[in-house]
Amino acid sequence: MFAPSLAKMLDLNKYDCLGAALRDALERWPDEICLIEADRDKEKARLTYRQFKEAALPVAAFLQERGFRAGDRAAIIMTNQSKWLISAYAIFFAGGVLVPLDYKLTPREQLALLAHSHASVLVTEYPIWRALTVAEGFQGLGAKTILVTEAPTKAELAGALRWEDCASVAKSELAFVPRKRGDWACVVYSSGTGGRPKGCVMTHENYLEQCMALTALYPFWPGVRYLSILPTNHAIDFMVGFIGPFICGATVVHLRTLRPEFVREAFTRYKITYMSLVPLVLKNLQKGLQSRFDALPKSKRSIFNALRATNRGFTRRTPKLWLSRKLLGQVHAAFGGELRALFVGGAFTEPATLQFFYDLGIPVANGYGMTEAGTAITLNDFRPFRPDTVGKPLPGMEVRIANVGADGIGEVTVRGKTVMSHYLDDPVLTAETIVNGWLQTGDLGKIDESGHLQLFGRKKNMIVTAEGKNIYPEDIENAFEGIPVKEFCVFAANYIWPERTMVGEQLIVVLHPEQGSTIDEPLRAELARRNQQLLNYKRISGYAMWEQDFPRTASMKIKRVELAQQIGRALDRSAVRPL
Amino acid sequence: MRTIEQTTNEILDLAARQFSVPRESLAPTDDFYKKLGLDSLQALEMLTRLEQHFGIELPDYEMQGVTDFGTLAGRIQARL
Amino acid sequence: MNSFSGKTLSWSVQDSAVELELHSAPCNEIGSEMLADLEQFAAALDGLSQQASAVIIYSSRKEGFSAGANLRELYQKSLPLDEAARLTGVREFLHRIHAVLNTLDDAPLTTIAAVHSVCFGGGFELALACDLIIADKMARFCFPELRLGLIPGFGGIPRLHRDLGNAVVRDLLLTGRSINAQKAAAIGLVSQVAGEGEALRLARATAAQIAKFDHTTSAAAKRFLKPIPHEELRREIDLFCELFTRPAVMEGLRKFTESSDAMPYLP
Repeated sequence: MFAPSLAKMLDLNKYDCLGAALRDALERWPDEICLIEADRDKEKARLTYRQFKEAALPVAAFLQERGFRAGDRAAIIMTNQSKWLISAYAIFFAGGVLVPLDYKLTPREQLALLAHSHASVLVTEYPIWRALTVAEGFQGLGAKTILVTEAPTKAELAGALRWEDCASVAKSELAFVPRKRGDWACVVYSSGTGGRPKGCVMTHENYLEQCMALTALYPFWPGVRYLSILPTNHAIDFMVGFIGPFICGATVVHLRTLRPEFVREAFTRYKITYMSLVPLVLKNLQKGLQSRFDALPKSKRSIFNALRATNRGFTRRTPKLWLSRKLLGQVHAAFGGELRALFVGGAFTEPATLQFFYDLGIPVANGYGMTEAGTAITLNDFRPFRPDTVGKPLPGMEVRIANVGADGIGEVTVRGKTVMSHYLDDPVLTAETIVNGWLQTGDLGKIDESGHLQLFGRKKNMIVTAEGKNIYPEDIENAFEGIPVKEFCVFAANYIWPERTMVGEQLIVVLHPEQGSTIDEPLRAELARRNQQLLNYKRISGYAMWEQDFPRTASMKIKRVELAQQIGRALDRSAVRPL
Repeated sequence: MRTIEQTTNEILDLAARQFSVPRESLAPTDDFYKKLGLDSLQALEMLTRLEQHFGIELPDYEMQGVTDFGTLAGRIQARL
Repeated sequence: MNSFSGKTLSWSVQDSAVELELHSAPCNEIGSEMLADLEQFAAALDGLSQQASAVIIYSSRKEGFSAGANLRELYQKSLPLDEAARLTGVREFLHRIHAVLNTLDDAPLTTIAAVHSVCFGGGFELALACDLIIADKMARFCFPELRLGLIPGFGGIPRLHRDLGNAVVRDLLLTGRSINAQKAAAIGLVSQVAGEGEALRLARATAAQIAKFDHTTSAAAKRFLKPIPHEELRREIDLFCELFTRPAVMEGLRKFTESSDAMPYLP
């Protein structure tokens, strides 16, 4: 399988919108496979680009018949399946704005986001629809056109229509609705509600530019296989597991079982080229491989280690895939033999893990980004391999460090054509986040002489779990409502006592006891009890005592910035008691 | 006394640990056969671990037609 | 014969205990092959009792101790036959397996079943024929025959009656539910619950203990404590055969055989 020469780089400048780029791809490669749906060790379905188009056009026609116009918003809440992608294309074809929502949110949260986004259309699955119809706030649902997939024949649909019925709508009057580069393509909600949804408005230009930037480093072409295990509403998978491959005629393999043994099998069965992971899954893969190496008989193990050292010696500067595959054939065979890169991001990845895979000739490209920036800001390109950084800015991305301290570290700010337009209906937050055209990421870092970005902590009051989930202290506070103290506040520990590291992030609660009281055993027990009720990755790890009143605004909201500063000056980390 | 949310969370925690999948990739509405790729033997194993964890007995027929974590939590909650 | 290595099982003497290893893929289903091997074992028991004082029966298949009768074989063999021939075939099989299990039940050595994971149907009946059951934490016991329109036919009902109260027997047989090791221990079915993967080790420790006592005394005590319910066993065979002729049974067997799941053991 040949890679196209770099001279024939993907040029999306001729397209004004995502729909146009996708439409051309569907026409250009009708017989190529766009999607393979795998379930454990069986294949459930394969779709060619032609079949994909034929499935999507009736949906687009249906939407238009129902009065869906250019710029109207349509939400999708589905687990991963071909219909997600088909609906998304249909929405773009009809000139709409896609609102991809996370199916793992509670029905109440989903209804809140549906309301916030003013979606007039919703495409969802029957179990999710059922849960929505019985949730509080359902009566306020603004969306009037609802498509539900796989509803049982006798089910009461509460005004929704069946997906299967709309597939038979005549397509004769169907016209592609073009959009301009600056028009909205999607509204993407970044995680964490805390009462204030953050809907990132992404334009067609944002996506087209991001696609060009990514494929400049890691090209896609027909025959390339991308293994998708993340949900498609996830920003990374939307780009690398849908838009990118589709525009280039490549194949996406959907694997819905996350068990490591099935993921490993999928590599060989489908000869995977690329895949995205979160650091936790990467670590699991490493553990699996390491235990297999450890199980090798002594003689084989020493040969293997020698081969690994040889490979490391030859690939110190740049990877040499052909050499690595020769030397470490068995390992590469275990990954299908066609793997070009594993992308990892969303949270901190240990350099040792990256080195482990690199020495085996399996390039793991770690990167850094955020939804607001159009997903990827920096990405490692192995020229040379740097396990201690998050890579260089992608082509077209400008990265500047603001308010640089004595140690050379400051806030990472970003400018480029992939940065979002604004936060939906929130000019105040937008103005705080995009200042003079530069996106304030809230992360701290520095750029070294070779142009690589290194991250050293977070300016924002939040933590990110090993699986890439953002946790905001405000969201955790609800769990402690009513505890017998005068006032309390949850913080990311690093927000009060900044550490120059991304490792070991924790949440703590600051307690201001009632006059004359202390933090006694019953209170600690109550805290522990409330803590247990939280999901394990949302739990606080300790508490600290504060004896002054919290600074508050005129409307009695806690001034978190000021409080954190006060505490940081007066106490150090040793004041935190474990819970 | 556990709430149904807590019971659901504990089930998801257990399933994530037992089958080595990231905890955050699991949601109450997920079909655990599909999401975890379970065959009936592994489903029995999960059943035994749930019985041990919650200190209850869950006759097999309670699993009849149950494919998602949320509904399973309901069945277990009824025995707490 | 001190040791034997067969297609479905093998045995050898280790430290004054006979260890019988069941190793037939996928889960030690008891069909004609295993029956033949078990008959060899039953025949060797008297000789073995000269060198050992205990028998440990265990499985090296990770799927479990035994999933029971080989239903696929039963279906495939019955399909081309007429009703009378089917019945004859089944009855003969039952007589043979009963003979093996009665021999085991009565053996002049103390018998221990070390079970893990799936211990269903005929496999459960095999364990019940032993003097002691040591169960891995993750073991499950069940009589799924009801789901096929049948009753256990390898002597399970009379042996359960011998060991447990009628209420528990009714629960197991009328609902077809499975019970875990803890519950089985609580009702007195299982003598010890072992940590995961530890059942064989505990069985060996128990066998070592058993080896300390006088052989002849144990054998005599056993005969006194454990009369074989011959009459009830014969009636069980009759009832099984009566039920076997019903069309629902072949239909149930067909569904089981055609299921794509390797072991479709949930209702």
